[in-house]
Amino acid sequence: MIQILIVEDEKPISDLIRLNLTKAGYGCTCAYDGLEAADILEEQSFDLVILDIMLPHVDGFELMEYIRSLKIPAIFLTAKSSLEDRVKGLTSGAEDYMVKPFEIVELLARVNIVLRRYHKAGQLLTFADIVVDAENQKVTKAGKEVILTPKELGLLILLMRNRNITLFRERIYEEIWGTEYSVESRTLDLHIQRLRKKLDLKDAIKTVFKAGYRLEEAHEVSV
Amino acid sequence: MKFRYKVLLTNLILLSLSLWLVGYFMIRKNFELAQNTQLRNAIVENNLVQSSVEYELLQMINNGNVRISESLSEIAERVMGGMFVESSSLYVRYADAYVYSSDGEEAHISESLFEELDVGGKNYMICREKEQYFIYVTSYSNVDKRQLCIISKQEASDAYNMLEEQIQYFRMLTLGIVLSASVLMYLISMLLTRPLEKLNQVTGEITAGNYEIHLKAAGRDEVGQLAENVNVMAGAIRERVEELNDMIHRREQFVADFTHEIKTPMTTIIGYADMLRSMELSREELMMASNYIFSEGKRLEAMSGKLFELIYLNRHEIEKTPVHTDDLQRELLRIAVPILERKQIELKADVEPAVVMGDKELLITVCMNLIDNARKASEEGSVIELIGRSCKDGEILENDCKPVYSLRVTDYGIGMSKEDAAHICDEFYMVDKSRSRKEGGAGLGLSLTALIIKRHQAVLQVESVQGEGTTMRVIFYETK
Repeated sequence: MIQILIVEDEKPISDLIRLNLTKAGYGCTCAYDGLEAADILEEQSFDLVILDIMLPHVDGFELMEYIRSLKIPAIFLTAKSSLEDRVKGLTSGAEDYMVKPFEIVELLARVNIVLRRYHKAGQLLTFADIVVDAENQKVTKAGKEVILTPKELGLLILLMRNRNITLFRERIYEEIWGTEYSVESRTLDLHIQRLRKKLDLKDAIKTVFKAGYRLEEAHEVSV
Repeated sequence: MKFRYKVLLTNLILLSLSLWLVGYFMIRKNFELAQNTQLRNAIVENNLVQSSVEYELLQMINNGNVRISESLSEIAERVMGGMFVESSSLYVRYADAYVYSSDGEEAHISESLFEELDVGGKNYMICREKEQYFIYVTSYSNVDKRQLCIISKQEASDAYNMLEEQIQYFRMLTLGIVLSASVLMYLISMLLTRPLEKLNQVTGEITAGNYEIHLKAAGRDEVGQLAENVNVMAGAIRERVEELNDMIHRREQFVADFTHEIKTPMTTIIGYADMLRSMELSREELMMASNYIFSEGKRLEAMSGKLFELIYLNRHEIEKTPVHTDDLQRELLRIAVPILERKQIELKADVEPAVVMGDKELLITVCMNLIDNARKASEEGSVIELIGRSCKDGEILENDCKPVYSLRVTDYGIGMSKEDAAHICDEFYMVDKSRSRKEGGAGLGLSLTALIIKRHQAVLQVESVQGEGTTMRVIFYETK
């Protein structure tokens, strides 16, 4: 399991990130100040650090120097939005810089991109008996190859990367078609129907009324 | 035109003018004197000639010779030979006709010289002939009832030559003096204007933004004073600019802090709301998310309220009325005790009755904020003291104002470092962020308190020892 260290002094935000990353299938550890983070980093190895800049004791920039020496990729997640801070954050060796308030889907996407850059995310995405090789554009179900159109493949990968999270129609259109969402368009629904049919995901891909779609792992749901 | 050239030019003009005036009058006087001397000599000569001629003529007439016209030329010839120098000439006119001329010509003089001439009187005139000046002197006498005029002519070029020479000499002298004076004056004016140039350069630098300049005092004259004043001015500008920069910095800091403080609850609210709408959550997760949304929303509300009060106070004057401190105490006990009881904190209030000038509601806000801060710093079951005392005479004066009343709130909680104590009144400053958050603080309470205290012309003193507790003291001063 991929391990992520969250360095954030605001408990509510720390909890928020932890909750979302855990749901997306990552292992999380939280540190509430710079010193604590350094201590944890010394003892444990991580695949990624998400850190704030304004931290008690040791600030994010100082902590970044230490993280860099450990060769762990890091993403700044901070309220500091000035150009100066962004540049400073990125030149200090961080892989990415995100400004609060943020959206969960965006955070997950960025985490995924950084992990892939470091070849830490598995090259293969799996869901039940479906395996997707994103790099080679190959999809197999129970060992048998299934042929998908590029758009269908993209949609599948998006759903798998954000499993258990409702993807809003606007978001999906933006990601897959790169266009604005229009209400009368049925393209997305058609693609979803084909995916359900081809991969037998009738139950897994849930339609969220008036919102969008969600790929749900059956055992995760516990209401 | 540069100042030094102005000084130079003015001085040169003045010098030349005065030299010219002096020279003109001196030379003119000299010339007059010389001319007068020559004239006097000519008249004396003419006198001599006249008397000699008259004497001889008289002797002839006495001897019986009455052919005056003929004899006159002889007499004149004799007299001429006897006393006249080469450059002089003598003419004798008798009955309006020349009877003798030493150079064979008639005298080149106008007839006016013979008019209005009395017996024994003299007339003279100065004429220019062939590049030379001559003085003609005429004298007049009656001989045999006819007019006898003796005209002597004498060279008078000396005076003119002298004049010429003096003018020449004067020109040379003036030129020399003016030249050397210009050089000297140029040097002097340069010396005088050098501090001005330095000043010029310095004020230029001040304009360009370099306020760190200090001019060396250049003597005690006006320029020196100006330099000193420029120093003072640069200092004042430096201070003003620093003040402005400080203000801008504080404002920027405020905006930065404000955005940070507003972004944290925003991020939390948006994040959890996003979770609620896009995920299936367990019951505990649902509770946690909604709790966070609620508490962060409350925090935003508290913050906006405090901010509004801060802005309001900054814009409006407060109205001061006499406030009875025992009223204040009663009011405070009513509000504070229920809040403190939740943490089992005891409030020991001992407020000496007195009257202070102020806005009662605002003073309650001040005390409540101080008590609230004390509560946040205190452990459960601890004590907070609220003590009010009238100040006795002879206490230290601040800004010439007499302290009249002091109100202190003491807790025995966690205390804070000196560094923290210096910053507690800054907006959004929190000594212990997580603790303060837990207690629902926005980091604005003490900023507000400090502002209210300042508006009351009162002073807030903070004494704190880490681990032992904090005392906050508000001192009211006599209002003039």
